[in-house]
Amino acid sequence: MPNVRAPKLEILELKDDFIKFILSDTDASVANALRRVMIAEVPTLAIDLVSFEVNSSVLNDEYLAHRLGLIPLRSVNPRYKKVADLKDFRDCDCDSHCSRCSVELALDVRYQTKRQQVALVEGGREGGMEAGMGEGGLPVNVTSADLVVTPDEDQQVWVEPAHYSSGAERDRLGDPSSGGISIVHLGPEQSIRLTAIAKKGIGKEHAKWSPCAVATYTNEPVITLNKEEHGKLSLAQKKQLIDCCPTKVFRLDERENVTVARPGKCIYCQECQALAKTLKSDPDDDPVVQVTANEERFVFAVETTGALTAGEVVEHALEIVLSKITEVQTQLVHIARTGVV
Amino acid sequence: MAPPSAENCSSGIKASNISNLGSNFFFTELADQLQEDVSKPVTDVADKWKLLPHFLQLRGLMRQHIDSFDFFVNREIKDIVNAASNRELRSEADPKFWLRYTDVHVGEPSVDDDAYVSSRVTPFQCRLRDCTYSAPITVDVRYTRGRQIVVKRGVMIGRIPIMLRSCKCILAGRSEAELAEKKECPYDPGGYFIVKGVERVILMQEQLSKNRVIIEEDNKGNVSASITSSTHDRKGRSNIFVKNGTKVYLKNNLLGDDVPIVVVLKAMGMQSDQEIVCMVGDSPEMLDAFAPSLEEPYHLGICTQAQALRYIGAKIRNTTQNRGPGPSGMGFAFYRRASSPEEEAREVLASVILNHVPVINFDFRTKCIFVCHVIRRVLLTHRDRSQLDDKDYYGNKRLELAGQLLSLLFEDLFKRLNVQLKKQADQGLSKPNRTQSFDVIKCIRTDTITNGFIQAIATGNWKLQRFRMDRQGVTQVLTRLSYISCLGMMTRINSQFEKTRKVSGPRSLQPSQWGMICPADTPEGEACGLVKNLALLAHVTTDEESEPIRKLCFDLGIEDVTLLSGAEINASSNYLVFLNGLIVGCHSRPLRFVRLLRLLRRKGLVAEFVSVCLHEVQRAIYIATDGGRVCRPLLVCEKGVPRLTNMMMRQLSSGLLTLAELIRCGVVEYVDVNEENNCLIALAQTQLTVKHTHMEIDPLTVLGVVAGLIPYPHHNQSPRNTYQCAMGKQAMGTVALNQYERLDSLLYAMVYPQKPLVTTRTLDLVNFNELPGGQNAIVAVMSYSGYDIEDAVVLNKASLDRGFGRCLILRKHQTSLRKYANGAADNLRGPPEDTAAACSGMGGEPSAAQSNSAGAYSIRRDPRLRRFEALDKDGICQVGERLENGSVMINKESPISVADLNMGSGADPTPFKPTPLSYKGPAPSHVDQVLITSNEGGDLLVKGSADATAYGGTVTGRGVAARRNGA
Repeated sequence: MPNVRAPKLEILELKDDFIKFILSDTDASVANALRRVMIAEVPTLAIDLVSFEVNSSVLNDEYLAHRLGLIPLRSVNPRYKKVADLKDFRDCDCDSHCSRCSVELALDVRYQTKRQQVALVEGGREGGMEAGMGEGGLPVNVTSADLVVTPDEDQQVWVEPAHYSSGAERDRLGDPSSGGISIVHLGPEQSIRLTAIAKKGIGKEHAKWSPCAVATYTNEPVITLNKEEHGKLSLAQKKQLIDCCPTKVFRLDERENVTVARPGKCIYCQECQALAKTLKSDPDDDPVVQVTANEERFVFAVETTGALTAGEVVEHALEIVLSKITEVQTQLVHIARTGVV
Repeated sequence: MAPPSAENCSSGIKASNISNLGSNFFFTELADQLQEDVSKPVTDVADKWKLLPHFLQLRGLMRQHIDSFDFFVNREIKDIVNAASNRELRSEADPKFWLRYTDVHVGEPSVDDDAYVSSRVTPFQCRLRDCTYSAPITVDVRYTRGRQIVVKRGVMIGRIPIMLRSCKCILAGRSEAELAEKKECPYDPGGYFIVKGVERVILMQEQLSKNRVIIEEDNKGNVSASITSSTHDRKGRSNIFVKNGTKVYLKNNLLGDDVPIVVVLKAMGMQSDQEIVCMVGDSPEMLDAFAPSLEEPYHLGICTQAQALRYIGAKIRNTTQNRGPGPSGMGFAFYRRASSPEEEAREVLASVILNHVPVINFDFRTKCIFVCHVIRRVLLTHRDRSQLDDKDYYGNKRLELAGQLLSLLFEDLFKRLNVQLKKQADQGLSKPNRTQSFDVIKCIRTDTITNGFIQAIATGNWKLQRFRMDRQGVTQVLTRLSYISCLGMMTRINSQFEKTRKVSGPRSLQPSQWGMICPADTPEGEACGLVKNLALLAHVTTDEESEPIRKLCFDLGIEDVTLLSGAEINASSNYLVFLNGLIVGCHSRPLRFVRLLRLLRRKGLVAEFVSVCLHEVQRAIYIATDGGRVCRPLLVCEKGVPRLTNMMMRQLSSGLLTLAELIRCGVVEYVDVNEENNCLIALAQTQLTVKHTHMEIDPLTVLGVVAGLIPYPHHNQSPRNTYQCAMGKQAMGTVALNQYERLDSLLYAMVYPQKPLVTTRTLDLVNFNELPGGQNAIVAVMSYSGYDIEDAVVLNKASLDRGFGRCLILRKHQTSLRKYANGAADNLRGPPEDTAAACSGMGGEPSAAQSNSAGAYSIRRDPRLRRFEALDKDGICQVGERLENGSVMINKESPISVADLNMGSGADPTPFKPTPLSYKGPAPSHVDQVLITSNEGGDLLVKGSADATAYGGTVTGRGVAARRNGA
């Protein structure tokens, strides 16, 4: 077989909710397959069915249900259970839902009690400045932090709403008790009581099941400086070339030569190439700079919602791609053996 | 621009604190700087527009409607009741009987709960309860009861619908918190009425100005002066025109034939030809032109006034409508019954033909001068057609607003009430032996006026007997598609022209509409150019007293026209002065007169909306105080420098100065279309020269509210702006802050509306940011084959999932439980018992809040009863229940017989037939709210609203292109 290649993966940056890596020695078809699987086919957990008991907030049930659905949920105890371990609710033997295919959450917030909680927290911090405000009618913010996960039959709570996509974000934004994802503001005399059933699903069905906020790739840029032409440039022209780049890819080194300092920042804007055309002393000369795309190397940037870590997303996505290919393979083998399509 | 002095001050103080060294020097420098800075006009062009919020604060967004209504309720209604023809009521049966109205008031808005109790209401209650937001009109009267004279105060004669946010509305001047308490949206502009629970707007009506001479070419090509005279009592049109290019005639509906104009003059007492010629003009050309007309009466054998009157008397059409049945009739007799043709002719000339020119005790002098002036202008125009007036010129237009239309209606209804009262009085007093003396107050039937108003506003049919006026579509339901559609409706101007007319004149954009009418906002199709919208700062005047101005004119050196001869009037050194279309006198130094009058206005000694306009071609000065003129504020400039200074701007922004004060001291003034002709208006500071008299506040004010939302309109092809004006109103978004409480019959509410990223100044001024419509979209534009459909967008599914373009549709369903005359009444009945469910012991009461749908299915298995599943035990659907096509929402039953009296009282149960209210809709939905209330008649009213969530892609298809140029 010609062109046998072994695709490689090279991680440039890895955080809880972000990964940057280079997939090399492969084609756009594979890269795109990976990207699309990450967005649409990595299963996660999300609220899918909400039963309202009380809702006297300003938002109506449909509105709230939609907001609840978009809250990312994650496993806090992967050793006990992972999202992948859940059964698809369509394949489960149960009537509507059970702990094998779903997780139950509850939201029960009353303005009065929540107000007091907030006053306590704020009072502890600011010396009870708002102690009198409890009755004053300042609205309180109901967030994902108010969602309570109902323990399963083993009395285990293995799921929590992802209030923050990463630990870094939590540290940046501060206190998780007042933080989290806003659901609705409650005014005096308002309350919400509901139970929500979270199920496993994939982003293809609804975007709330997609673990990715952003999943993109770009070809790695190849920026070549023509040594010969470069020698013909004046210092002013060199500076012009450096300044024309909006992301500052080029740099002037000690010997007053233009070097490609940060090729990864290139956004293919072609400003430098346009300038290079004007810098030519003779129209037949080669341009000073040429930017081309390396069609075998793909720089991926994936940011997650917090439902899974970025590493997990890539890992699962690769597994899914693999399983798809294996599936095709077994089918083909089957057809080859039996001759039946 | 120099830095603001406030900064200088603070830095100065700091400096002196640090060291006293040289502080003296510093302060003198600072003082210099301050002085220079303060006295300097606003040099920075970017500053002027900051006046705009103050204008809107002062006037409110929809001030023209509210102003006109306030004027009617406070002033005009009193004038109507105190008018000589309405003030007193007498009976033919008893000469001693009289009823005199001494005063009239409009009270607080209330609702009659039944015949005895009325309670205060808020507009919001009226909307929900299908009531009319109205207030009682009460009068103070003196009348005779038997031999006594009785004085009564506060006698109710009817109810008048109250315009929201007017001075009589309980919302006027309320703070945001108070409005919220009354469940009212603080951004709602008001200016509309609530009649039977429906919000209705009285549209502005555009028409040709009354009581003005307009010289036009009639359909035969003759030069004709048409004068529409309008007074409180009568409206009529007269034409003075050149027939067959030679002789001048008068045409009026009341005269069967065209009458030679000189005959008319003779009939009015101008017998001498010499005098007539002097008055019309004695230049040789004029004489030539007028000679044929002058000969006319001699061919007819008319020399004296008596002959002329007899001639005219014979031409008067003898219709009963004109004559009326005399003073005893319906009160619509236009003039006293005359005994002879001569007298009749005199009467007609005095009070019917050109009736806006007052004739007191048959002194025809002013009318003669007026007619002669018209003849002069007609003849001049006959020679030189360039002097024809332009009918489409906006200075010749008047806008009729809610207040004026209501006052016409009220006068008609009030007269009708008086006629009814008189009839009752005649009847009551003619009875020979009465047990108790006749009390006329008890005969007042309030529903004449109440129903008259409600009928007119609810249907939009303005029918007035007096003026034979029958207009349709005067009011329209306020569209609440979006906040902008509601605002756009309040600025709409309807034209009186027929929509089928294919003429382009009235439809095209007139240069004189600059700044008054939005150039972009007009519908497409048949109403194009006929329906217009006011520009952002345009204001419509209300009637102003003309008598003080008249006196002032004489003080400023005008010579009374009645004291002048024709030669003096037409002298080339004199300018004629007109006040509201009537000749007041002459002035030999017109420029000085105009300057002085404007000076007085800027000093606040003359009302701010009085317009003075010098017409050099007609050698006349026109002063206007009448209502309905469109005007706009401009910055006053002197010697090329605006009077507005930076100091004023700063004081304005800090609240030390108000805009009203700026207007009072002549920094800003209102200028109407006619006066604009005497102004040289600079668009920007940079264009200012010594010759300029005014400067625009900001160019954006030429656009209206709706066109003001378009970012960069000057970069668009002009029809695109017009299209956007029509589409902007359809944008889905927020209707009002109280939108979920309002229970509109259909509400499209966007779940996540967004403030636009690209905003305009108008946007902030109209609070669009608080009640946004639409969402910002990131759009990639690229060429690609396959998706080559115009105006199509490929949407990202994930963004729809996450809430892009998501909307809620709420639909109201309502029914009323009526009580019938025989005592029977509609009933509510709970859902029918399911025998199967009852057997299984599940007949118990399901918890109202927890009606789990799965549970409900297991209770009722009978498929025939599926449609009753949403019902609670009281027969009304429960909040949160799912409704499918055919589901019963309100299980009402009505008595079969509503006529038979025995049915209601009998021992056997009254037979009822089911009349349920069922849900009809292609998609299932859920019950969102249920409201049980009662309307004015005491009938129980059940309203419910059901909602359905829809995805953007299917619903907002059209709006997508709307603001695309903003990205």
